[in-house]
Formats: sequence, C-alpha cells, structure tokens
Amino acid sequence: MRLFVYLLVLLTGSVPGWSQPGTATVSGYVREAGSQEALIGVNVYRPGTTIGTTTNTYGFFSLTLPAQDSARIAFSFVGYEPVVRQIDLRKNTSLTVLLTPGRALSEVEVKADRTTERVSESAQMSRIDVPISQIKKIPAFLGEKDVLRVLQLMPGVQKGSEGQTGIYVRGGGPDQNLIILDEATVYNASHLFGFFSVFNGDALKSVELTKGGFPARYGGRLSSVIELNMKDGNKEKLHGEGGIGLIASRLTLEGPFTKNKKGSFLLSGRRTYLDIVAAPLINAQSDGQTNAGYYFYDFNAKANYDFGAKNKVYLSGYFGRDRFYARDKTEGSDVGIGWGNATGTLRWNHLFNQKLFANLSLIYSDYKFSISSDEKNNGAGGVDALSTSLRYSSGIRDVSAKIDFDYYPSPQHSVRFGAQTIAHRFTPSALVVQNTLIDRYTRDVEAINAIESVMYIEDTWRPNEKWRINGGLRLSLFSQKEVSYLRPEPRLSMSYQLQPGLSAKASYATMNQYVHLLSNTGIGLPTDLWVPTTDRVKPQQSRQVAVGLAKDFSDNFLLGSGFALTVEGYYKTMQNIINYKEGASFLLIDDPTSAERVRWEDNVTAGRGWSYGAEVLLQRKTGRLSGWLGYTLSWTQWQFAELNGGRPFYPRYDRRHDVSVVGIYELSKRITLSGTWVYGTGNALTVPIASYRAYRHDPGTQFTSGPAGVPSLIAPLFDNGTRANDYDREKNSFRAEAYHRFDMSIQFHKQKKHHERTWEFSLYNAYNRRNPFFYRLETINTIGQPNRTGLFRYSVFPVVPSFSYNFKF
Amino acid sequence: MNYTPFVLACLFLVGCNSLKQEVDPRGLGSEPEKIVVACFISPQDTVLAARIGRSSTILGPDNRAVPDIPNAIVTMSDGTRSVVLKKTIDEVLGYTYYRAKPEQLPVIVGKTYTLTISVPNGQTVTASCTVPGPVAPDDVLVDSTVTTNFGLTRTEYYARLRWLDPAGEVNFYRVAGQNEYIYKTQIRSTPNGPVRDSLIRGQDSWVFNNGSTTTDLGRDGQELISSRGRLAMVYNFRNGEQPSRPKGKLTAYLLNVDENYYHYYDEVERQSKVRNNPFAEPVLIQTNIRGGLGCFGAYNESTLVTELK
Repeated sequence: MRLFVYLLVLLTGSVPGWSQPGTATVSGYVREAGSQEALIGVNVYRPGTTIGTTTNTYGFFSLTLPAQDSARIAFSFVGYEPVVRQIDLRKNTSLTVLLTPGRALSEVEVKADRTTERVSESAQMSRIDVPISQIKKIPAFLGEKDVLRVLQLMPGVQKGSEGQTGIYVRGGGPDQNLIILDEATVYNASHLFGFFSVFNGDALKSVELTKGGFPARYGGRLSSVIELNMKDGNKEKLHGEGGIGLIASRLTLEGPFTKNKKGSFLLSGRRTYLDIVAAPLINAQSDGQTNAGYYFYDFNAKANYDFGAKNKVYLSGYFGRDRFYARDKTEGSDVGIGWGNATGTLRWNHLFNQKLFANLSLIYSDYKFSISSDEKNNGAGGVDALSTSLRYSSGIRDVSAKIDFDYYPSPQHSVRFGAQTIAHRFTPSALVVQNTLIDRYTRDVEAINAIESVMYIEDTWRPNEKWRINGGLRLSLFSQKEVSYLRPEPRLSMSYQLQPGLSAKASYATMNQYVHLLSNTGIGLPTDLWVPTTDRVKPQQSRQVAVGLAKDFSDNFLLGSGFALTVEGYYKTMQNIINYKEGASFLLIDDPTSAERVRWEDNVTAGRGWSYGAEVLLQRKTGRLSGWLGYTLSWTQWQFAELNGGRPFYPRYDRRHDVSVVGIYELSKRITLSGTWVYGTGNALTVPIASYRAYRHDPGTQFTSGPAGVPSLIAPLFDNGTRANDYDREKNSFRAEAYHRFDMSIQFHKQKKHHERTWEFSLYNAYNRRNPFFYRLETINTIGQPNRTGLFRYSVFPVVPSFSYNFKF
Repeated sequence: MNYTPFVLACLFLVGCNSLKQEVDPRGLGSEPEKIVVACFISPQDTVLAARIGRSSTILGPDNRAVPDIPNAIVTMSDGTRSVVLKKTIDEVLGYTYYRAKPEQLPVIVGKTYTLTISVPNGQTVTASCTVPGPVAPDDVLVDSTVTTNFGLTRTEYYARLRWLDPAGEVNFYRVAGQNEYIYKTQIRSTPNGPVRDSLIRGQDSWVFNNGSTTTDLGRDGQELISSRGRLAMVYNFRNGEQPSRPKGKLTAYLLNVDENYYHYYDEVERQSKVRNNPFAEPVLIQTNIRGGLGCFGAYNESTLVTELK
C-alpha cells in the first residue's frame, strides 16, 4: 500500500529526478478518421530519433520533450496513412490526431520512415499481433474468420488436434493461456467442441498474444496472454457489416447514439443455422415426434461516452451459448446440453493530468456448463405416471475490480502500475435429480470461493539511444479457505540496438497460475472444468528466459519494405502443473446416485515440465503481398511421480517442427488471393504394443447364472481374463503422422452504390490430406480368414470447400 | 457454362472418401511374445495355482483363443524349499493351469516366495512376493437407493466394508463379497404342464463399479471404509415390478494384499474401463514378472458372514 501512496504522489509530477524542468508535454488521443475509433499501439515519435512512445489501450499517449520552439511529431500505425505534426513545445499541448486508413495498394505512396511498429525498437519480445484486416483475408474454415486459428499459425503457438481452436504456447497447455476480452477473462473460448472460437472478428479491434517476456501488468497464467479489444463503435455515422456463410450468419451495427457525437455503440451478433435447416428433415423422419439439433450464437455489445477531455466511460459485454437438444414426444423426453460465457466490463478512463492516465474497471465473467434431462411418462401400458428431471451444472464466475495507471514522467520513462482483485466462485458440480417417487435428490459439491489479488509496477526505461529496458514486479496473493499463497513475480525485458533496425533482446519472467483446468480429452470439451488452487493442489509456476534478435528491413532489395524478422530462443520450466491420473475420467457425474463424495483432487496428480526451443518469424503486415513465414523447433517434457513410473515423457502436444506460411496477395483492387500452408510433427501418443489376457481370481465359491436364471455352481481358480494392453515402457512414445495442410481462398470485392460486397470462395485442406485426429485399434473380420487387429487412423476434415457473402456499409 | 458447382461437388465427394484408413506404422507388430503369469497365493487357500499364457503382438492375426502355455516348467520356492506345479486342466472352463498342494510349500505370513517359469523356447521369467498379515473387517454396511430408468423404478442394494487399518505399515486392500437372493419367476415344471409362480434362491458376487481396491495412503492407522459394491440379485423386471431382492447369507471378504497384487488389480480394472476410449489417459499395467507380464501376488483373506432378512 505504501508503494501505492508513493506512486500517487507522482500525480503531481513533483518528485525530483522524474519531472524535469524546461520540458513540455504533448499528450492526447489518436483516433481513426471517419469513425473516431481509438487506435491502440500507434507509434508517436520524433522523426529521425528514437524518442517516442505508443498509444495505450484507449488511444492515449503522452510524450514529454525538452522545451523548444517547435518540433515535428509523427504518428504512424499499420494500415494507416502516417501523419506528421509541427507542435509548439514552449508549452504543454493536448491534441487529438486522426489517422486515415491506408488503401490496400498504397504502399508506394507512404513515405514516412516508419509505417509500422518496428520490432527492433521495442523492449518487448515474444509478442505477436495480427491486424484484424489481415485476419479477414486469411482462408477460414467454412468461411468463419477466427482469430484464435490465425494465432495458431504463429511460431511458438501450436494447435492441438485437427480443427481445434485450443492453443499451446511454448510447451504450455490450453489452460495456461489467459484470454481476455475487454479485460474480462473468457474461460472457454470454444464453440462446437473447439471447432470455432467464441470471438466474432467483426466486433474486434485488436488481438495480441504475448508468449514470453511478460510485462508486469500481465499475469495469472503460465504460458500466454491473449488480449482482445472490442471496437468502440463509430462516432460519426451508422455503419454496418455482416456476412452469410455456409453454417452461420453475422451482423454488426455501430454508430453514434447522441447528436453531439460523444457517445457511440456497437452491437454484433452471430448464429449458426444447421439446426434450422435440419429440423424439417428430422421432423419428417420421425413423423413429427422427434426434434433435435445444435446451434451456437454470440452477441457483443459495447457503448461508450465521452464526458469531456478528462473522463470517458465504456460499457461492454459478451454473451454466447452453445446448445444441443433432443426432444422426443413418444418417449416424453427432453434432453439438453448447453454451455457458454458471459462477460461484462464497465470502464472509466480518467486523465489526472497530461502525464497521468488512469482506468478503473469493474469486470464480470461467468462460464457455465449444464445438462438437463426431463422425462415424462403418462402412465400408459400399466406403468405408473412418472416424471423425472435431472439438472447438472458446473462453472466458474468472477467478479473483479481493477485499476491501472499510465504515468509518463519523462521521455526516458513510461511507468504503469495498478492493482486488481478477483473474487472467483467455482462450482465443480451441482446435481439435482427430482422424480415423483424419490421426491428430490440434490448433491452439490460445495461451491468454492477464492480471492486472487495482484499489484504491479513496471517501467519502460530508455536510458539512451541504444537501450530499452522494461522492468517490473508483480505481487500476487491467492486465498482460499485457510490457505493463501503470496508470490512475487519479477519481470525484465531488455533490448540493445546493435545497428539501426537491428536489436538484440533478452527477457525473464516468473508467472504464477492459481486456477487450473481439468481436461482429459485435450480437445476442448465443455466438460473441461476449472478448479482453484487448494491446500492439496499448489499454484502452477513457470520461469522463462528468452533471447533473440529483431531486425526491421526498411528497404531491402530482395524483400522490399515493411518486413520484420525475429529470431528467438527460449527455455521455460513449469512447476506443479496438473494432469488427470491414469484412467481418471471426468468428474462426479458417472454415478449420480453414488453416496460417496469424491474430491476432485483425488483424480489429479501434479508434476513438472520444461520446454525449450527456437522460433523464427518473417512478417509483413501491409502491402500488396503480406503475410508471414514461421518456423518453430521445440522440445517439451513432463515429469509426474504418478505417470510413466516417475520418468520424464513427452506430452501429447510436444512438437519438434512446426512450420507455417501465410500469404495474402492483392491481385487488383477487386481481387484478393490468400493461402496458408502448415506443417507440424505428429502428436506424441501412447499406443499398445502387445495384448494379453489378464487373469484374476475371486475369493470364495463362485456361482453363475445357469439356464432360466437357475444358479449353477462352478469353482474356477481363475476367470476367463480381461483383455489387457501392454504399452511401451515409455508413455507417449508413439508418434502420430505429421500434420500438414494447404488452405486457399479468393475474395471478390465490389463497391456498390450503398455498400461494399465481398464474395469469398475457399478450400480448406486443398490437397485433401488425411490428417490424424485419433488412432484406434480395431479387429477386422474377413470370412475364411482369421480375425486380425489393425491400427486405424481417423481423420475429420477432407477437402472442405465453402463460400460466403460479406457486406459493409 | 459454369462448372464451379460441378467442381465443388466432385471435390466434396473425393474428400469424403474414407476418413478412416488403416495405417501400418513402423515398429508396431514386431514386439516379441512375452510370458504372461497369473498366480495369487494366500495362507487361507487350499491350492497353489498359476495360469501361464503368452502375449500377442498388437497388430496382425489374433491368437487369443489359445494363449495358455501347456508345457511350461513352473517352480515355486520360499528360499529353502521348492515345489514344481503340475499341469492340470480346469474341469469347468477347460483351460490349462499348474497346481500344487499347499502342504508341499506352506504359505506363511512374512515369508517371501519366488516363482520361476521356463518354456521350451528357452524363455524364463521370475517374480517374487511377500505374504501380508491378516486384517479383519469390523462390519458390513448395507444400504439401498431407489433409481429410475425409462420410467421403471427399482431398489438397488449396496454393501461396504469397514475395518481398522494397522498403524505403522503400508497396507493395500481388495474387497469382495457374495450374497444370496430370492427371485420370483414363472416356471413350467414339465413340457406340457402349467406355468407356476416359483420362488428361486440364488447366490452371486458383488459388483464394484468404482473399484474394489484401496490403500491406507494418507490414512495410516485409521478406520477405512471400502467403496460400495452392488449386491447380487436378478436385475430384471416382470410386469413393471421388481421380482428379486437379496435375502439370506451375505459374505464379505477383506483381502490384505501385497503391492504387486494391488497394482495389478487396480490397473487392470481401470484399463478395462478406458481402453477403448481414444481420448482417455491410457492406463499402464505394472508387472512384477521380470521379463514377462502379469502378476505374482500374495494376499491374506478375512471373512465376515451376516444374515440378510
């Protein structure tokens, strides 16, 4: 707390050494011309020098410079025409800068020396961002543009199984990613069992993934932070966009809601319609007795209001649901499975002065999974009338308050500090069974409450032209019942400019994770369960060191301009990671009437892991030809006392080589071509090498039911045996076949009188590769030959063509 | 003419062609056969018996029908005395196994026994185990629950064992049980005779769906309660009614087993539940048979008999 008081004193800017005399501060907001959308991460700098800063999540910047008559300040951002302003530096200045979106083919017209954020000039490493405009051009599965799938195409980030949106970052599991949408945690980012992510690209402004060198403001998970920000909404005029695809349609509307253009809103919705299309077929098949289907939908909504230069308020929310249902009139049954997230964020920006920006957020997040089953029997055929209902649910709910300060005392320092408290409420499982005979049966595994609190401070320090240093400390405290854990997390990132456009970087980060995901499928089912740290399950912890080189090619004769190359190596250790014990299955609902209380901790086991590797990324974000080449070479190993006899083993998603090539080519103003090719080493699996019969005995004299239910006596010493598998000595020593796939798409754009339309045709898995989804041993019966066992590969997606119609007005 | 729909349709049909394909990965299918052993000894048992089989490679023709090895040499020893188990055919199930009388090599608590098996092709495997002491069950807890399936309601009966774990030693347990039951049915006593209501008595073993093994890990010296076993009866319905219920003698067995026996039973039970689920965490079955598979384990059996009215 004392730290906070000290930091708040800085509000006045009166602490010696930080605020220098004879300086002037230029501050303000950078917005998109036409929509007034705040732009995140815009470069604000003095041309020809390395003095500069970037805009924060709300488009705010502050730059303090030596007082002088005037200076040129440039504002540049990927995909926008740069702006250079002559600014009077004899006094402090506040301004709003508007950037105009650059035309797709305008690369030759852009003459500023920095059109994109230069990777060589930031202390941050291991960060990936893909412009939303680029995401919309990359081939998409069934036409659904998916930000998480695009992130999977980046080095250091891997997918799990075919078609899944689960993300594995530098040897970490899908539970080790913090996914935040407008600051609210999204606990299950999957629709349709992981084949689609819950994020609708039309509603998003930015996506950024950090996989190492974490600044102190980020924490709570071991492996990555994926930060998504929703658009604020167009402040100038009503604007809309949408699309009609093979499986889903979507519509987004945004515009001002006040005449003074101080407030704007955004509404976005998406729904699948497989169930609506299939309903008549299912109905006809069952003479109108059965109705079954599946759908998902999601809504994004956001509103903001500008209360003058110093205060702004934002309210945003997300609501999404997946639902399976089956109703049968003959059997009187009605079964449903549903899951989904709901998030809400209320934010208040306050500008204390030109150097101190603050944001207060109140955040709500909820993930729920539920099963409902109702049966009604009207008593026909001599059976008593009976109705039974079952309700099962599990989930997690967070309520959180967060405050963040951005303080810009001098051109050398950008300080961020803040605090957050999250009240978690975990519901591992709640079951209610009710029927007319047993009245009511309820079994709750008690909801678990826990409090997670953090404080952080970080400073980006530019001591001279060559060095960039981001140092910070994060303190996290987790309390649940009597146990509490207080953990400091030191963070450091450094960059040293070797020559213009080339920097060497290094970073270190300690991360703690207090919530854990129990998943025994690895495919992102909604039954995956979030559980807290307890007295028996310790917090997960990772330590990661990364080193690398970052090179910006300003005008390479081979590559042209705008290319950036990063090469990184990392080593990461992970402690107290959890996994299901061998043979453990998903929790507590296998026997709803069981009188036994099983603690979920009994089903899990803790161990450690380590991962190391190298990643290369050559990326170009704008231009006629854009995209990237990524390559990852990595090793990941786990060691659990209770798995594999305590010896280290490769987890399922250990991947030696991972390659991705993404290309987007603007053939003309009307036609965009794009293609992606991915290659990955196969998953590490456990496959049996031999089978045998495992015989057992039963105590006492044995009886068995003879003809007509009459018991007859037998007394075998051994039973007939259970068929058992003998596995290799080492777990996961079988490698699945390599995964590779080529996707392509072509977009036809046309400007109509009132709107722009785009037709898109795409092919997923264009050369029809049979990629393994899972393997299974099966017995083959051929007449006249002895039975034999074979290993079968199951694939999910052959070549999948799709088309969609998109519009914008 | 626009060929696009035709091309797309062709692509789709080509694509759907067999998403399931047989593969022949290197390495699988070349595993040599191993000797598989099942031998469980107890001071209470009236026989020393071992069943010897062989494993088969996972891929290729199934030879599961004849896995028993009929010409093995099976020797059991306690370090000073040894006995060769003789080949025998089981009268009921017809399999080959090897047996000897316990008088030839008494099974004594605390002693370590070694089993050696050699087969004509030269393969030899050995294993050892030590006999644990007795632990008696204190009582049997019987309860019942009402369940409903497809509108039919029935009462199910369950039993659990309770006992005091001996302090200061690591213990592994297996529980088992049997009970008598009655069953109302209709029987035609002669081919052309009338159908008569009859009451039949039967006896069968309990079913432990949540595993029949446990340890005193973290609970040393405490009172332990087993998982519940479903009592035997005839789980059928007749005219919407439940015609059967447990009645008569109820026998509960508490086996204090050695670690080999525990791992084998626990892992075989768990593997059989998930071995066909491609997404489940596979269960590896440990073995104490050096060079082979299976288990040579020891147990000490205590019995508790009650009457169910």
